[in-house]
Amino acid sequence: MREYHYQYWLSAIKGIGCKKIRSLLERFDTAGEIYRADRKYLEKIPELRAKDIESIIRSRNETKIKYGWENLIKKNISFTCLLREDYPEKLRNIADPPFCLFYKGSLPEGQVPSVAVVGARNASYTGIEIAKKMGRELAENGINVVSGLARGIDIAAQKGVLRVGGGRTYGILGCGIDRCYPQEHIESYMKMQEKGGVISEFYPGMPPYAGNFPMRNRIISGLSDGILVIEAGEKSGSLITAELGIDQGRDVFVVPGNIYDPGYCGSNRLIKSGAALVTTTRDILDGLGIFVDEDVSVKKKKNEVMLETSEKIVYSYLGLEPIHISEIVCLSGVPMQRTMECLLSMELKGVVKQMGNQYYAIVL
Amino acid sequence: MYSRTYSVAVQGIDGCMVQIEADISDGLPVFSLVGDLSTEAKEARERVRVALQNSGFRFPPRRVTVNLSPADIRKEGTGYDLAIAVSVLSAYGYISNNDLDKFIFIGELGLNGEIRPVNGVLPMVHTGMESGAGYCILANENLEEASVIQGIKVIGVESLLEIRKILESDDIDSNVYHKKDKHQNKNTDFPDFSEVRGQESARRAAEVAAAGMHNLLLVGPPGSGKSMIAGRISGILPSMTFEEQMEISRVYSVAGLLSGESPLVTKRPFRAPHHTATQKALVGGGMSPKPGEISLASGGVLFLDELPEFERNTLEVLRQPLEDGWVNVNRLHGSCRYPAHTLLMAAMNPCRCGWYPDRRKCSCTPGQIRKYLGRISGPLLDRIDICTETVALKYDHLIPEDKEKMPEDSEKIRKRVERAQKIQWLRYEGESFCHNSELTPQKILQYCTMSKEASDYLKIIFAKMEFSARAYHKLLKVGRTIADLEGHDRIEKEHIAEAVFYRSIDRRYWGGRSEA
Repeated sequence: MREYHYQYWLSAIKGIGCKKIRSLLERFDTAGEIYRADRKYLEKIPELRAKDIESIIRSRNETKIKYGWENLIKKNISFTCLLREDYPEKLRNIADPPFCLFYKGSLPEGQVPSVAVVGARNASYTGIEIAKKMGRELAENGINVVSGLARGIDIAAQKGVLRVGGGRTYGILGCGIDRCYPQEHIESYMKMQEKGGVISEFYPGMPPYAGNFPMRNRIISGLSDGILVIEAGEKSGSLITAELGIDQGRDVFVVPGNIYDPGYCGSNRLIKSGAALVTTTRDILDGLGIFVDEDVSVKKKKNEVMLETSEKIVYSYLGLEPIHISEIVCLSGVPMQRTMECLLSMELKGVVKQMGNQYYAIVL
Repeated sequence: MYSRTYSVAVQGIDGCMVQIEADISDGLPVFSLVGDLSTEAKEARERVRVALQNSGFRFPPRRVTVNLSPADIRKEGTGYDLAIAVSVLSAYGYISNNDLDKFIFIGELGLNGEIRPVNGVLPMVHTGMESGAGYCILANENLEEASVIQGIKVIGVESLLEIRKILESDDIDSNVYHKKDKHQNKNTDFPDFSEVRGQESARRAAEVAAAGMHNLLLVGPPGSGKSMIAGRISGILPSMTFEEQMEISRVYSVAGLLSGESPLVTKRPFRAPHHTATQKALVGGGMSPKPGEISLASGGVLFLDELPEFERNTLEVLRQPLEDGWVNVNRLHGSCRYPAHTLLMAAMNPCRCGWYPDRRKCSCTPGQIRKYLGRISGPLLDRIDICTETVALKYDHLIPEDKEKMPEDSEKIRKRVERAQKIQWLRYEGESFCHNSELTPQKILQYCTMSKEASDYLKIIFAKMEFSARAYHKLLKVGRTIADLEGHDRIEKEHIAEAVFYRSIDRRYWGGRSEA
């Protein structure tokens, strides 16, 4: 057995979590030493109860450990833990870092700045467009985006990054690393392994229990230098991430929203309690002390698309809230067929987007 | 003594002549009835015997044998009673008319000798006329319906004694019924489209659907006018030709839905079965097959409201009839065929609560929405050419500010639809179909010619929007109809653009809130 076998064994003992492992590590230097420690010595450690010691001794089964390790390798899952060099430095420094991390792809590099983007799962189209745009712009400026691969804001930001050539993004899962939750994000889940990585502290095969997600949030904030909150409601999980981030000394950036929109209730409260209000990606970069010459992305978009006159008229009635074609016709007075033609050609140009069947919204 | 009369058996909506032979011979006094009869037809024995006695005829005890031929066709219903009674009377010599072959008899007997109406008279009389019978004798209640058929004289009777009197008289023609008023063929009496406020896109989609007889799916929140629009589509279809009226009336006749006041179906049907309807109720069936809703809606509109609430299996059986325009119902005692040239119109909410994509009201998760939409099978969606969305109405839509903004009425729309259908009718002369919706991929190549600009445009759309081959065909069919509406020979760019709008609800756009 090698040291990594012991480390893997230590991470997988039933009933022994981060805290107990940490107290064990205060007394031992390596995982191998713990494996070889005898019962009497273990009994002297106050944090361990009789049940835990029993569990440690019972799990000392070489074949089983080796089998488990082989399985990880077979599934192409990488493993790291606090005892190793490659454990992310930022995460190591938080109050209760997870002992082990399973990951596919790569781990974030310590010297590259990274921003966590979090927000509502049940987000509005506006929020999603903002997340996508800011994700894209962060990546264009060479910043890693960390998020939770959840529906709504999370996946939107990560998809925005994946669209940029050299963008890197990391998805922190609330279930075993070999599961994609929610399922429909499988495409991003696979892509992310090439352009960044997916990371989880949970043992492979673990289902997405509700209790896992608050724990996962400390990794999201722990791995990043700043936390960007987009569209957080009254009791949003994003607020947990933001609070954890504050405890960990991270900067919190918030995109403000309508004060009467319940979907932005949590966001606005964060601003009130002192978080940085951001309206552009530039604000985040400034907040993190990253110097850039010019916002590359802004100028590109503007001169790319040419619109005809009637297209411009139709476009002027569109917004981030999806609007039905009948309403556009009613408001603009452009005939039905012509409106349809305009919308279609603008959709082909990529400046508007069809939502539902005949609802349209602009693309940021 | 031997005698013979004629009646008609109905199979599906087609009739088949039946000979009723009666023979009186020596032997045990038995009344036997043969010829592959169903229970209710067999019971004719008792009805005929008692009715004849109660009408005052006396029979010496002899052996009576009645045969219904062809003996290998299943005979159902009570319409043979009258023919059996007349042939028995004739065999006993109570009726001396030697020309019974000229008559067909249709009607049920009461024990007191009165003649009662039966269902399916229209196809029966039609068959009688085609086989060359000169007269048809039936119950007074069936008279109006039967008199629709030209080329056969119909006589209404009340009792057996009256029949005898007519058959014995010298001037039979004096009893023939003459229809008083000519039937109308106006497709009116439908609620008007001007009552539909707003919903410009759905109105237009309905017009296109009617012009090409394309199946239509309306998606929208509750109360946005889906059912209103559906109920008005029959009214913008062109008036029915007499042949169409006959075909659909036969179906209604078999189903027993014709009455004395409306002996012929003159306005296009609109059927809206409830979503608890069974497979048999929709396509027809049963021990003795009856036409289903899709056949009753033939030539008109079959409206399925709350589409996802229908049982999945129930909807699946619609697939074949929608494709072929016919339903084949196969049963142990033979199969029958009902027409099903229907414009299928379905309505549904976009999600379970009905308000997607209005996020202030809809709280459905993407998973729930996907599940809701998943209840409708892809193959059924494939048969729906046009899909459109209605929008929740605003106040100023409900109350138009000025008269000029009043929406168009059905009359105007129907004129355009009629013109478009006429163009199709002329174009498809010599083909087995007459609407754009019936084009097969091969025929699409032949008939859906595009301008250069349009085909280039379609190429771009195709690449960008990831259409399937089937979507491509639908697009061209609908494009063809729009071009017909505008009176263009070739499909132009703007027609393609509009057709793209009516494309099927695509999974990509649905439950796509998180799919940024």
